[in-house]
Amino acid sequence: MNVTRAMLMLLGVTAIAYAARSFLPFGATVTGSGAALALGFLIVAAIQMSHAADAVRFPHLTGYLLCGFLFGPSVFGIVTEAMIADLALVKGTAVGLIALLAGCELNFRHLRPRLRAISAISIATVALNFILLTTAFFWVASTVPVTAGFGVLGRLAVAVICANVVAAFSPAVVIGVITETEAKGPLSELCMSIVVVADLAIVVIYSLTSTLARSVFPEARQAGGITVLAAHIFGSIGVGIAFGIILALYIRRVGSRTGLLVFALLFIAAEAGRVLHLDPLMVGLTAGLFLENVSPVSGEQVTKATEVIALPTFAIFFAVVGAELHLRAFLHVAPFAVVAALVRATGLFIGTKIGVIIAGVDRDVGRLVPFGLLPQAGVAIALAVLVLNDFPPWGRVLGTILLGSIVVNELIGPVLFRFALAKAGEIRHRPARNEAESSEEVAVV
Amino acid sequence: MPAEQIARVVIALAAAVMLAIAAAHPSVRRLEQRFGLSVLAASGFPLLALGYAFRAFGVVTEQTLSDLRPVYEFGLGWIGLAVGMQLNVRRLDELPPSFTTTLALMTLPATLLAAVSCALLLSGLGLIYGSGLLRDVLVLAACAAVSAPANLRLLLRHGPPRAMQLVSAITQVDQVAAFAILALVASMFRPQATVLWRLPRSGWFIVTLGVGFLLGVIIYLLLRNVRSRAEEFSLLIGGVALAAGTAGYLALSVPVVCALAGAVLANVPYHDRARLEATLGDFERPMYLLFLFLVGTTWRPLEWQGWVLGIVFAASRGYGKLIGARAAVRLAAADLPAARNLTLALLPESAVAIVVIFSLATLDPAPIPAIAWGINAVIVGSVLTEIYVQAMQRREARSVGEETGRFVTHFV
Repeated sequence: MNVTRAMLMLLGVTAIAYAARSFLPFGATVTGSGAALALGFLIVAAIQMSHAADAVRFPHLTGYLLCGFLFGPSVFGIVTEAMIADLALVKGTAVGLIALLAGCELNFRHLRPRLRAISAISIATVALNFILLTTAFFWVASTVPVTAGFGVLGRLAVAVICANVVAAFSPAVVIGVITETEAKGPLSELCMSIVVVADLAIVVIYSLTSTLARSVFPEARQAGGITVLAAHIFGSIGVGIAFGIILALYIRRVGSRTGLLVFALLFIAAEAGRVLHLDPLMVGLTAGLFLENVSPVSGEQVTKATEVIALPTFAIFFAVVGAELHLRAFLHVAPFAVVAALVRATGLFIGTKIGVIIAGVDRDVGRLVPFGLLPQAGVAIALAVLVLNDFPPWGRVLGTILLGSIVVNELIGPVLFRFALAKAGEIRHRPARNEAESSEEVAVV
Repeated sequence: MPAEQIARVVIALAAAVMLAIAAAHPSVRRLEQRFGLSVLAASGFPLLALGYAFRAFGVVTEQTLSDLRPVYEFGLGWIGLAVGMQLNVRRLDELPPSFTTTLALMTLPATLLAAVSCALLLSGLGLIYGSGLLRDVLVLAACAAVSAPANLRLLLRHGPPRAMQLVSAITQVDQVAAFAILALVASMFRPQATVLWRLPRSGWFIVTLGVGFLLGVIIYLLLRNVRSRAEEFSLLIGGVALAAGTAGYLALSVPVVCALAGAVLANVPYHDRARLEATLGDFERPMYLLFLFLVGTTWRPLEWQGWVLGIVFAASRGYGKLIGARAAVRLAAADLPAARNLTLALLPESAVAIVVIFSLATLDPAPIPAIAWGINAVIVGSVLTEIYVQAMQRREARSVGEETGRFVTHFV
C-alpha cells in the first residue's frame, strides 16, 4: 500500500513538473525558478522512490539515484541539463555536509586500534587497483582509435590517469548508506575510515598524475601546477579548520539553529570555493575532523543538530548525481566500462584480502569490506569530468568510458553494501510506522 | 580573480557569517528586548546595510545573485506558506462579528490613502500611466495594508478583553489582503515573454488560484503519511520548492501561490499541526534576515526620490490607520480600545511588506527605478513608523510608570 501511495504521489508531482515545463518552449528555462522546480521535484520524487526501494530491501540511495536517472535528461527529461547546472551550488553544499558528517564520525582515538587495518587495506587496495587498472587501461588505450596511435609513454600516461580516476571511492555513498540504515559496528566503521582516507590519497595522487600527463600532452589545458595544487589542498584544510572553530564557538555560545549555520557556512564554502579554488569535500571533512578530534564540542552534537537537514541533502545530492548519468554515452562504451568495473572489483577483493591478512582483521568482517569499497560517485565523477575537459581530444572518449564504469559501480555498489551490512548484522532494526505507533499506545496505556 | 578581490570576498563573507552569528546570539536578543526594538531595527538593519555594502564594493556580483535566485524564490515560498497557514477558517469563526468591519476599516483607508498619495508623488516624479505606475501604486497600497502588532499588553491595557484577540487576528489576516492585491498585480501586469500558453490576463488569476490550491493538496498528501520528523521536514522543503518553482516557471507570484497552498494546509485535518507550524516558524526569522540582505543588494538609498516616497508613504498610511481606527471604534466600541491606542497597536509595518515589494522586483525582468524607490519607501516607512511607535510607547509607559525595557514590539 505504501509503495502504491508513493508511486501515485510520484505520478502527481511528475505531472505538475511536466505541466510547468510545457509553459516554455523546449530547452528554455527560467533562472532560479528552474532550479527551485528541479530542487522541489527531485526531493519529493526521490523520497517517493526511496519508499519503493525500501520495499524491495534496496538502500534509499538507490532510489534517489534511480529517480535522478529516470527523470534526468537521459530518460524522461523532466529535469533538464540547465536545471542541473543551476543546482551545482546546492550540490557543492551537499558534498560539504556529507564530508562534515563523515569527519564527525571519525574519532582518531577510537580508530587507533584499527589504524593498522585501515592503512593496510587502504594501501593494498589502492596499490593493487593502480597496477591492475593501469594495465587494463593500457589495453583500452591501445584499442581505442583516438589513443591507439600514441607512443608507449603516451598510452601509459593515459592509462595512469584513467586508473587514478577509476580507483576512487565514494565516502558520500558509504556514509549515506550507513546513515540511512543506522548501521553501527566494525564493518561500517572500517569501510567509512578506509574510503575517507583512501579517497584523500586518490585526490592528492590525481593532482600529481594529471601534472605528469600534462607534461606528456602539451595540448592539454594547463593547470597552475604544484603551487595551485598546494593552495587548493592547504587552503581547503585551512578554511575547514576555521569553520570548525566557528562551529565549535557557536555551539558552545549560542547553540540554537546550528543546522542552519552549518548549511550557511558550507554554502559560502561552495560559493567562495569556485573563485578561491577550495574543495567543499576537503573543507567539510577537515571541519568535521577538527570538531570531533580537537575541539571541546563532540561531532555527535553536530550530527544531531544537522540530522533533520541531512535527509533532504542526501536526497537532492544523489538524485542530481543520478540525473548526470548519460545513458546514450554509457551504452556506447558499455563493454569497456564493464571491463573497467570488473577489474576494479577484482583489485578491491584481492587487495582487501591481502590487507586483512597483513593487519590480522577478523575474517568475517574482512570478507565483507570490499562491498563497502565498491560504490563510486561524487569524487570519481568530478575527476572523470576533469579528464573529459582537460585532455581533448582523447579525454572525451576515455572520460566517457570512465563515467560508464562509475555508473556501474554507482548503481550496484550501494545495493551490495547494504546487503553486506545486513549480513554483518550491523543494521539497526527500525519498526514500521504502525508498529511504532501501536507500541507507543501500549506504553501510554 | 585578482588577489585584492579574493581578500575582499573572504573578509566580506567572514563578516556576513559573524553578523549572522551575532544576530542569533541570545545577548543580542536580550538587547532587543531591553530597548524594545524590533528585529528589523536590531538584527535586520545591519544585514540590509551589509547587502548594500557588498553590492557597492563588488563582493556580491550578478553571478552571486543569480546563484542565490533559487534560494530567494524558495524563501519567498516559505514565507508565503507561513502566511497562508495563518488563514485558519475555524479560528476566524471564533472571532466576534465586529472583526470583519474592523479589519476592513483598519486596512482600506490606509491602503487607499497610500495609493493616492504615492500615485500623485510618482506622477510628479515623471512616472506616467502605462509605464508601470498603476502596478507600483497597487503594490505600495498592499504594503500599506500589513501591520505587525506593537506592544499590545501596554497599548490595550484599558481595552475590552477581546481587543487583544481582535488586533492579533487583524495582523494575520491583513497579510492575506496584501497577498490578494499582489495576486491581482501579478496576473494583470505579467511580464511579456516567449511562452507557449496564451491566456487572457484574468485567466492567469484563475491559474494562480488553481495552481496554489493543487499544490496545497499535493503538499498535504505528501505530509499526511510521513515516517519521521526528518521526512516531514524534507517533504516540506521539497513541497515549498516545488510550489515556488512551479509558480516562478509560470511567472506567477511565488508568495501568493505558496500562501494559497498554506491556506489549504491550514484548513485540512493534520496529525501534528503544532509541529508543522513550529518547523515553519523556526525558519521564518532566518528567511526574513536573508531577505533583508538580498533587499540590501538592490537598495538605492542615495536616490532622494525613495526617501520622499518613504515619508509620504509612512504619513499617508499612518493617517489612514487613524481614520480607520476612529471609524472602527465608533462602529464596534464594545470590542475595541481607544482609537489612538488601536492605531498605535496596528501602526508598525510588518516585514511581509518588504516581501511583497521585493517579489514585485523579482516579477519584472527589467525593473524600472520606481520599484527601487518603492523598496526604499517601504524601508524608510518601516523605520519612521518604528521610531514613532517606540516614542509613543515609551510615553505611554512613563505615564503608567512601568519599566520601558519590557515593552517589546514584534517583527511580524
